[in-house]
Amino acid sequence: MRNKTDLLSKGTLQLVVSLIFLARGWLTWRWDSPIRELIWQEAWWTPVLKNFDITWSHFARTSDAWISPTLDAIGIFLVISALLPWLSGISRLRWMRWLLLPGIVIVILDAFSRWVAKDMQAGIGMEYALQIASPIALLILLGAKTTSVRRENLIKWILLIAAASTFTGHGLYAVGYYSVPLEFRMMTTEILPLSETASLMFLKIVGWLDFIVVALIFLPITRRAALAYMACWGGLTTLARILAYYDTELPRYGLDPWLIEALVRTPHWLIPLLLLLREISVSYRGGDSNYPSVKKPKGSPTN
Amino acid sequence: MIVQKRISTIRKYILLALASALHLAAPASAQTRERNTNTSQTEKYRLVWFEDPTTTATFVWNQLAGDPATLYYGLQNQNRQKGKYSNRAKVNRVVKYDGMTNCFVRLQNLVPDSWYFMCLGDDFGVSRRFYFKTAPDKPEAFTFICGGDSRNFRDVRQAANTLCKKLAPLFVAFTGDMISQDNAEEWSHWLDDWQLTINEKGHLLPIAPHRGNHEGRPESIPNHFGMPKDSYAAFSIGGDLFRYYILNSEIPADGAQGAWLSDDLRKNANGVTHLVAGYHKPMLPHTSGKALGRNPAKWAKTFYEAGLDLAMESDSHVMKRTLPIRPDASGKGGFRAAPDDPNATTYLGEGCWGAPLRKADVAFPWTVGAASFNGFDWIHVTPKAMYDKTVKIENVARIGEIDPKKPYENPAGISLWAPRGGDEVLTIPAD
Repeated sequence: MRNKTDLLSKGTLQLVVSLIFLARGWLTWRWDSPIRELIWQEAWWTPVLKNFDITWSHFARTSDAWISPTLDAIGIFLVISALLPWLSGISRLRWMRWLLLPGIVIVILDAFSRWVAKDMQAGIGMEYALQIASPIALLILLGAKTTSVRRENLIKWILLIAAASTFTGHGLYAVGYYSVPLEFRMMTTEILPLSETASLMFLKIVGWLDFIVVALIFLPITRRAALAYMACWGGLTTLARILAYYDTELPRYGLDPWLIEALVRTPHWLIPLLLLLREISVSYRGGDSNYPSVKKPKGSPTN
Repeated sequence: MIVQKRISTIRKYILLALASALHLAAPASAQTRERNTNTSQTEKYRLVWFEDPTTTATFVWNQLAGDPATLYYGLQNQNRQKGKYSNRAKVNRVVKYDGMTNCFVRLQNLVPDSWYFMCLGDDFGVSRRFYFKTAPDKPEAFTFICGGDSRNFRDVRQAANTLCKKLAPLFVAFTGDMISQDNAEEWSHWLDDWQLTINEKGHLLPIAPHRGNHEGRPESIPNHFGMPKDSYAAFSIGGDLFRYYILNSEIPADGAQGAWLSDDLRKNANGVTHLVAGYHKPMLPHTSGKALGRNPAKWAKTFYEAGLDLAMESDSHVMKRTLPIRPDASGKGGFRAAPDDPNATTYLGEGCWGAPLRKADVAFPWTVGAASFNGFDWIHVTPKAMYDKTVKIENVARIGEIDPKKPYENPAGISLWAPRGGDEVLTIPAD
């Protein structure tokens, strides 16, 4: 049986993973994918193609004919995979959790492609940690029918480290360690009444705050406050996509893709919130050390 | 007997002619060889235009060893005899970037509409001889080439550069995404390939570089080409004939850049016959899957109010041509065709100077045509109109060179795009 914390984790992760698959799938299907960039790496593939008597010249001229349909298929597959977190949550269908694996691989491939496309900047890879870690955490969680302290702690630490990574990556761009992304600058000036210079200063400040909260989530005494900040800031930056780009003059008000871009970032606020609620719940019960046993005797009150 | 005598006479004349030809050709080829010898430790040359090209140009090279070379230049051709040139210029700036030592010389107070000859001299020797033409300051016809996206199809990139050399325009506007990964190796290759735009006599084609999304580091364009920090600028050619805006779609289109653009257009656009802008991200891509260019779209109103005639876009790896259009919220894509509106803008693009092709599967009611092929736009600017030919990058080895006296006449073997089987030449009349 699962305790309340475990059920909360399960439900939240199911929702998060379902939205990641749905949104990433939609973006891949409808709005192209950076995976294309991986295939269009001339230096990587020219020698490989040579082995098959294919020149890069031929490949570059003709490859879109199969890249686009393949990406469409991958996208549609991922959209359908959005059902898996829910289905595999049903105990009789728990075996279906293994079907999450192809989706996880696609999400990792997508993040890897973005990392390559961004000149292999570590920051971009770090930013995608929560989108990769969430389905992995769900897979681990669904691995057992009952609550396991070890497993829960493993999931907690995976998610904590992933949240730290995502916020560090975000911070590295916001403070200008890498060039501040145009998207950050546009969202800031579109939503807030800030000049271009002031918006850069604002981003620098929130970037440094990202680093501070990352340090604070590893200190038990400050963890809750840091997670609360992360949930709020992660939520605001997610929502910013819709607020900044909503446009009544655009087809579907510009919500495609920006609503979807917001949905794919659900873990950026919901995972810190989950970790915060879990902290509160555990401390209410007296801390991890007094955590309920893994297996409860039959007949005992269950959650 | 008589026949034999005649044959021997003919043979004698042929031999004499051959000997004369060889005699004439030998010194010529020796001269070419001498002119193109490089004993200096310099390479990867580029001449950059981003400010008044009638009197100013920035020459950039990579110094391989030793102290930065000195540039020797003048209006008289002195080949590689550096001491004979009337002017010399020391480097203004040296930047170590991407494993290169980029040396910048800003040439100022040049004579408009003039041919300049030059060479570099350093501790090791003398570079090959180069020459270039400053832009005219009075209205006279000229050609330029515009295109972008050369990032991951090197064969085509090299072919396109070679074709530029054959077409010998006044300058080349390169609308971004030179490279795929913004790193040392790719820039080194790109700059090596750019040398193919220099002909065997040393003719340098000035480049007006633009930043694309693959120039991820904002400092790459300034550090490789000497552009200002934010990589936007404007310059005029032929007095009031033509003004070109190098815009940066990778930073906010409004803000400082937007204020500068509006201000410059207000101050300098009045009375200019042809206003042209180039930038990387298209406002409305002609391929599916590419998001709308929300950032550059902010310029649409500014363009219309200023009466910008032509906007050159890139990024999508397709080619397109539109009717003159004006922003209109009720129109498809936020634009409406306005062929009779003198303030409407024609949009060309969208970047395929050596990039894998995408499907040109998006068309608007005001799209003249869109297609998938590697190419660039070759534009003839005259006081009466601008004419555009979209050149396909194919069979470049078989394409002849332009006749300098007829700079817009198709050389033999050139292949032009006729959108939807229509006109190969697009005319953008003077306002």
